[in-house]
Amino acid sequence: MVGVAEHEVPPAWSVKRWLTTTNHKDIGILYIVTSLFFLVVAGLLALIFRIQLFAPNLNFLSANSFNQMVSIHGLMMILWFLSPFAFGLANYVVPLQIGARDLAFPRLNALSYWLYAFSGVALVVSFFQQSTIDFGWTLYAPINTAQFSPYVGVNTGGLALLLLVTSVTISTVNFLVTIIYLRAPGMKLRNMPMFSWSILITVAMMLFAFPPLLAAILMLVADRALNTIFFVAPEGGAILWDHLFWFFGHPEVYIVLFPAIGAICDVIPTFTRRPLYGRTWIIGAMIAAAVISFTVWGHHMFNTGINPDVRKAFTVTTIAVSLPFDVMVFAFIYTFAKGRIKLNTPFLITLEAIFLFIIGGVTGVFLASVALDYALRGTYWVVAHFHYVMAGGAAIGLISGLFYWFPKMTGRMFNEKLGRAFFIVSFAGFNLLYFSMFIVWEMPRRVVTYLPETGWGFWNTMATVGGFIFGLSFLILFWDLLRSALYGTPAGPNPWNGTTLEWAIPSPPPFQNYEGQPVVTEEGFKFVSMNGAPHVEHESHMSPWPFLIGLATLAFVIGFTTNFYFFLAASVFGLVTLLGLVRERFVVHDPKLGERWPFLNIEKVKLGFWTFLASEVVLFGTVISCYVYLRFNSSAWPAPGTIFNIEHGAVNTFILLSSSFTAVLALLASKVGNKPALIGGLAGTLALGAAFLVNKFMEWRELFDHGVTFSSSLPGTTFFFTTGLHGAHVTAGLIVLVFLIYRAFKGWYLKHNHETIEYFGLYWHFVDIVWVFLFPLFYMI
Amino acid sequence: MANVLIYAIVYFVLMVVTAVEILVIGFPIPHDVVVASLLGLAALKAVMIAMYFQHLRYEPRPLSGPAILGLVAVFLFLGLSLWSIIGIR
Repeated sequence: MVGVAEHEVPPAWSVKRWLTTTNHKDIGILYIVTSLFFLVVAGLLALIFRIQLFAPNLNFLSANSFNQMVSIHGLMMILWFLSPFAFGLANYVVPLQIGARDLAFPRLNALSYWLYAFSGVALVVSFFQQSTIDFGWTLYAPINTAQFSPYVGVNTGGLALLLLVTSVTISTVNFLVTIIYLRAPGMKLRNMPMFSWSILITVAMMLFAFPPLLAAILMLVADRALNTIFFVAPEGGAILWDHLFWFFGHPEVYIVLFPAIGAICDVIPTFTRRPLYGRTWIIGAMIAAAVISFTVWGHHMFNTGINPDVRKAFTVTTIAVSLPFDVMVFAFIYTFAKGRIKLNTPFLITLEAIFLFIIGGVTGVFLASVALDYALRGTYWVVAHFHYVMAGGAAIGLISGLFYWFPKMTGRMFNEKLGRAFFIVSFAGFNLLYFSMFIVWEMPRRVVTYLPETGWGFWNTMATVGGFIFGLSFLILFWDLLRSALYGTPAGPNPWNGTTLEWAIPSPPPFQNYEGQPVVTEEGFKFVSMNGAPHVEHESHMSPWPFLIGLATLAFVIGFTTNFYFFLAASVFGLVTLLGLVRERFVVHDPKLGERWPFLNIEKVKLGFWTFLASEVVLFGTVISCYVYLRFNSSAWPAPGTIFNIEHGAVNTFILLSSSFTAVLALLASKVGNKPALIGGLAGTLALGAAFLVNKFMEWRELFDHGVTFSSSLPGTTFFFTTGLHGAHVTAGLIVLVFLIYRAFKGWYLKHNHETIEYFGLYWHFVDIVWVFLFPLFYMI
Repeated sequence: MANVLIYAIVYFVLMVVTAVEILVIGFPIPHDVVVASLLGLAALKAVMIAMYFQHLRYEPRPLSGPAILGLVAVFLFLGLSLWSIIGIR
């Protein structure tokens, strides 16, 4: 039965297979290969600017080129290599570990990948548009505004980030629903492998960390394209950007790190031949660190002059966030002590990652101190600490996972000698590169050169040599993995004697993963026969639309920054591809049995919608918070009714509430199979939504006529941006409504097929709720 | 699941609360009380929409969890960022 599905897709050597696949294992490999490509690009950038720093007073690079390379190196390594690399492994491994045939939404998974891949292309394109982002990966304000960075490439880089965040949001929803909804019978959360646990915690963090970044980038794009003044006005400016960026940025460290810890937690018991000590405590520690990580961002702002009391609070939370990692490290060490260790490559690299992470963690504790932070902020101490955590802990930890699961993915063993060579060379190169930076800790970061009198020359030379040795280790890695994938000795299903579910099936796994339904019992795993089950034969595994949508978004970004007509054409192309996606018949059958606690008796799509709405809550919540912050930070604000006409706001409130009512009436009509009432309800919602936009348009025109513009003042900036973002959501809802009405005319959505109307309603009512708060905040307070 | 009567009642209450909001700003009461009243009434409307139009009243409770955690994250961001500028303006 499994073979039938496999023959429905093109073979692995076909380009069509890779452009259209929705299979999680294919997508996982695409993620891994693409992220490694970005690792190479970002790594080459690093080697180039390390040459510039090799000795004092070198002119190998201009200051502008140096700044671009440093900035794109940071952005690309963190956002286009580390997280996507982790999610490549997660794509491949998590469904296998939890007993699922695929992710919950396979087409959306492919869409996430293509948006990610094309966002990376856009970032690379930005290099060739005058100048790309050259103000560091933290994109600090106000240097990120058009006044100081007026280059087209910066706009393209910003839009690339927007695309990436869209990809991440889709992926977040997909993984959360998958891990919650598609666990095999018996795969309770307490039994779930540690790597899957780490991904669950990671995506839960991503759900709340990425919307503030999205809000920040949207505001930045508005500042650059529409002349709003979020990051230009002193009431917002640098401090507002810092809050937004680091509310995302510090949890992002753990978002990058946790998948590596999860991989390490799966490697350790396999190679120590004993269960992971303190497994429940490690899970608890990860959850604790995840929660605390949202309260520590202010330690990045100690030098900005923020309130002294809040700095004390951030000191406490920053020290507190290190404690859960102590629990993890002690649990690892105790497992080593009690285990019978096999020193194979994955374990050696795990040891390397833990060692480097410990150094990174210990050196980070210094930064929690306000006093020490004054001395260390913006120096190579921070650069070294950061790389020990991110490159040492996260990247090396994930590479240990890559070695660990490589036999599962390819069905072949890697070359153990080359694996050990990677371990030795990477360890030597890494420490020579980054420990040298600790020694020259006083040297300021992001500076193109330095004077001989500083005495930093020798250790910079060592760091550059270390960088090239570290780069060499990756050549060894790629050579080993490429050669072994083609010519390695066959691995068999379980070369490591692993105990998790993925090792109970052949290597590489069959196209649909399991011959039968996996069931987890106290004795182990068993596979219940599924002969004759309809869903094995008739599921969809290919779709051209995710690739085409990704292509359209790339065209959209390039058109937006270069040519209006190209932009228009790309927009039309984008709409056509979206229409193609929603019109396509794509069949996915959910398992009848499985573990779904704590979301029992909830449909998969509904769970996905509510998860998505949670990210929307954070997005709008952040935008509204910025409005409150700016108002609070302004010495004066116009009285209610003096700028924004309450009548417009009130009329729009009544209109939108009425549209919610017609939407629920449409749902009722759908459930009882009343087609005219369904069409009437949807049409009423469409008409009211359109009336809302018309009234909004008239209000905006009146404001423009009275000199209230995007850039006239902070009240104007916040009003136009927030109500504009809300209006964009209304417009998106209306586009969907037109499609729903068209299909309702053709007889869709009646009786048992009412779910689509219900899910649309969830979105529409959320948009209504947002307006319920915007009305008093902007018009009456 | 709600029927048309319940939806109509909820809709009616939402409209009335909106009218009250508009009336509140004309009352001769302190500005802080007006602000608290308006935010309270907005929260009431939001809860009613979520409970009845989005059917959370009839759904298993954990379904509300992600959105509630999102709200917690927002209040954390708002609270700490406002605290950071108190007394330094």
